[in-house]
Amino acid sequence: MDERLIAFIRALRGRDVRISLAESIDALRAIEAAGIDDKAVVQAALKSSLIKEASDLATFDEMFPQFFGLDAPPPMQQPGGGLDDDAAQQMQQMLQELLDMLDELSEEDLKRLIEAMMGDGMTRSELRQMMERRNAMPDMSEGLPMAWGMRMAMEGLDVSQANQLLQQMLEKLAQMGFDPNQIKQMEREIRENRATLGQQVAEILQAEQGSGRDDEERQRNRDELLDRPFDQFSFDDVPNFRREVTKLAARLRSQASLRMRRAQHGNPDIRRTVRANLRYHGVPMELRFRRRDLRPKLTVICDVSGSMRAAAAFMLLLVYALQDQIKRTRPFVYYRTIADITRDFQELRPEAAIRVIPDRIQGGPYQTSLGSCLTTFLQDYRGAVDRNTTVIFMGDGDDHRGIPRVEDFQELRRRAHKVLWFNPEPQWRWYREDNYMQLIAPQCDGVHVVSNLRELGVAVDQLWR
Amino acid sequence: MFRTIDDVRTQLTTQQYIASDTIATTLFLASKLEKPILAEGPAGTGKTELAKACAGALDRELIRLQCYEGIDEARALYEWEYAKQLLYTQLLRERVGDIVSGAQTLAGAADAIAKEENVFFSDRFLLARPLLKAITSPKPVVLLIDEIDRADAEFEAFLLELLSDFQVSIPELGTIKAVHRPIVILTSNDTRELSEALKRRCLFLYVGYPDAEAELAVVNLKVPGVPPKLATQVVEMVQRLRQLDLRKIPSMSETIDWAKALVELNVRHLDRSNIDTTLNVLLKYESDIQKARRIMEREGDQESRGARDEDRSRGGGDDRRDRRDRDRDRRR
Repeated sequence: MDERLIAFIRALRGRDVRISLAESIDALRAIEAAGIDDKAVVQAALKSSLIKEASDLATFDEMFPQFFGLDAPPPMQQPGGGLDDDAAQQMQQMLQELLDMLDELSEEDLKRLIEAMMGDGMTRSELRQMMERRNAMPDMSEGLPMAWGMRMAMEGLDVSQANQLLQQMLEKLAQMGFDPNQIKQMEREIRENRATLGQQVAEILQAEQGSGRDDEERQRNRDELLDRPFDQFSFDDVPNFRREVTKLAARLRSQASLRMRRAQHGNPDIRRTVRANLRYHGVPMELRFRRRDLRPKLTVICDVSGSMRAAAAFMLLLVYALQDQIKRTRPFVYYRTIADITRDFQELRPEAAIRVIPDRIQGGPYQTSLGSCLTTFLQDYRGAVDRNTTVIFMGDGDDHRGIPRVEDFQELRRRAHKVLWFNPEPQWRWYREDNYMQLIAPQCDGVHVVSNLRELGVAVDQLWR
Repeated sequence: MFRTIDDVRTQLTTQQYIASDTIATTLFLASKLEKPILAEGPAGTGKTELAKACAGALDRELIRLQCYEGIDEARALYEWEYAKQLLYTQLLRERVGDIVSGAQTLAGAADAIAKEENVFFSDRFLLARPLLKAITSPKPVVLLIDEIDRADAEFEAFLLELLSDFQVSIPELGTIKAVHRPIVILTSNDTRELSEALKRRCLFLYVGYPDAEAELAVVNLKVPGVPPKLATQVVEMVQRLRQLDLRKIPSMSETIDWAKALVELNVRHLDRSNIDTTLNVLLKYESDIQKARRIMEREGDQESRGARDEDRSRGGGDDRRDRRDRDRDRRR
C-alpha cells in the first residue's frame, strides 16, 4: 500500500500538483487512521491530506482510479457475436488456427493481443507487464509528448501486426462467403477494441508521466518559465504562470505592509499621546504617532490592443493577482476606448475574466487610441487616482489615432503618488512609427521593460522603493 | 470524540447536517490526527454550519473568530486590560507604600516593586480573545476561524504556531500550551490565495454546491413541512439556475431560505406567479432576477407551444389563437 501511495504521489507531482514531504506523511497517517477497507474513504482521506488547491481536485480524481481502482479488464466488444451458429463456429475455428500458429511461433504476446482485440480484454497490470517485457514503455519522465509516447508504445506492442493478422482472417472469411455487412460490423468492433487498448496504454503512460521528475528538473522548468517571453506562452502555461505571479503579488503586498509599519513611526501625535496617558496620570508611558494613510493604492491601466495580444493576457493575470492581494487596486483596460474592469475581476475567475474583458471595450474606431483613452480616464475616472495611488501602465506605447497629450501625463503625475510604465517591447522598438514611448518615458517616474516573468519580478520589486 | 467515520455521519445527522463521504472522513481525520480543517468553497455551502454541527455533535462549546481585513493579535489572541491594572494600582496604593517603605534607596524601592510585578502581568489582567480562550479552555472546544481569506497575510503567518503546535507565545507570560487540543475549522471563500504554509498545516476540504439528490435531502431536513413536490421543484429550479451565468449563484442556504419562504406562503407547488414574487429571496441582484425571468418565460413559451402542437396533432386547438401567438412570437 505504501509503495502504491508513494507512486501515486510521484505521479501527482508529475502532473504539477504540489505535495510536500509533510503532506505525504500526513497521507500515510490518514490512511492508517481511516483504514483501507472502503475505497471511497481511502479516496477522501488522501484527497484531504494531499490536495490543497480546488483546481487540483480534478487531477486527483482522474489519477486515483489508476492507482487504487479495481484492476479489472475494461468492457470490450465481442466481434462475431451476431453471427449464426454455423458462421460463429467457422470464425472461431479460423481464429483458433491463427492463435495456434502464433503459439507454435512462440509469439505469446501477439497471441494475447489478438485475443484482447477479439474481446478478451487485459487488466492494466497485465498490459503494463507486456509493455515492460516488449520494451514498449517510453520514458515519459523526460517530458515526452503523450502522442509520441503512445505511438512508441503501440509500435513496441506490435498492435499493427495483430491488426494485420485479424484483417487477413476477415478477408478469408469474406472469401468463404460471409455476409459483407457482418464482416464490416466485425471490423468496426475490432477497431473499437483496439481503441480501448490504446486508452489503457494512455492511462499507464499518464501515470508514468513525470513520475521521475526531480527537484532539479522542476527548478530548471521554473527558470525556463521565468525567462520565457510572454508572446511564447500558451494557455496551458496559465496555472504555472499564475503560481509565479501570485508569489510576485504577495511579495508586493509584504513590501506594502512594511511600508505601512514604517509609516506608523513618523512624527509623534501629541494630542493622542496625552489622551492615551491620562490613565498614567499624564506620565507618557505610551507614545502615539501620527498615522499617515499609506495603505497602498494601485491603478493599473492595461493595453489589450492587437499588438499587445500575446502579452496582455499575462499582464491581466498579474493585475488579477494584485487585486487579490492588494484590496485597493483598480484595473482598467484600453484599446479603442478605456473601460473599468474591477467588477469582472471581483466576480469571475481569472481565465473567465480574461476571456470577457476585450468585450468591455465598446465604441470608437478599431485603432489604439492611447491619447484619447488617457483624456477620457482623467475626465471619467478622476477618483481612481489620488496622492496615495501608484499608477501602472502596461502597454507598448502605440497610438494609431494621434499623439498623446503630454499635459495629460503631467496632470496624472501631479495627482498620483507615482506613474510607472511596464512595456513588454525592447527599447529599440520604441523608435518605430506610431510609438510614443520616447514622449511618454520622461513623463513617468519609472519605465521598465517587462517581457518575461523575471523582468516583471524586478519591476515589481522596484514599485515601492 | 468520534469513534468511526460512520459515527461522524450519524452524529452530524442528529445536528441536521448531512455529511458527504469526504466531509465525514475529513472531520474524522481532523479529530484523530489533531489537524485543523481548511474548508474552502463558495459562500453559503455549509462550511460554517459544519463547525456548528461538529460542536453540537460532540457537545462542545463553539468558539468563533470572525476574520476581517486588519484583524490583529489584540483582537484574536489577547490584550492586557489596562483599565483594570490601573484600578488595582490605585486600590493597592497603600500596599505599594508598605512594600517600598523598607527600601533605603530608589534602586531598592524599584527592586522591591519589580518583585511584585508579576501580579500585574498575570492571567487576572489578561483579556482572552477567541484563540486564547480556545486553547486555555478547561473543556475541549471547537474553534471556528471564519473567512480566513479576509484577514491579512501577516495574520495568517501569526496563526501558524497555533495551528501546528496548538500553543501561543505571550512575551510577559511565556508559551501557553493547549489544555485540550481543539478541533479547528478554518473557512475560506477563496477570495484570495492562502499561503502554502497555512495550507500545509491543514486538511483540505472543498465544499462545493451539492448535487440535486443531496440538496433535496437537506431541504427536506431543514424545512419541516415542505410538500415533497415543492421540495423537488425548488431543488430542480435552483440546480437549473446554477447553470446560468449569474452574478451571484444561489447557494445552499438561499435554497433553504427560498423553500422556507414558500412554505410560509402556503405554496404547494411552484408556478410562474409564485416564482415571480419570491425570486428575490433566491437571487440577490436585479440583473440575475431579470435573467432568470427571461429564461422562465422562454421555457414557458416553449412548453405552451409544445402543448399546442400536441393539441393540433390530436385534432383540437384554435387556429385563430395559434396565429395570434405566432404573430406575438415573431414580434418578439
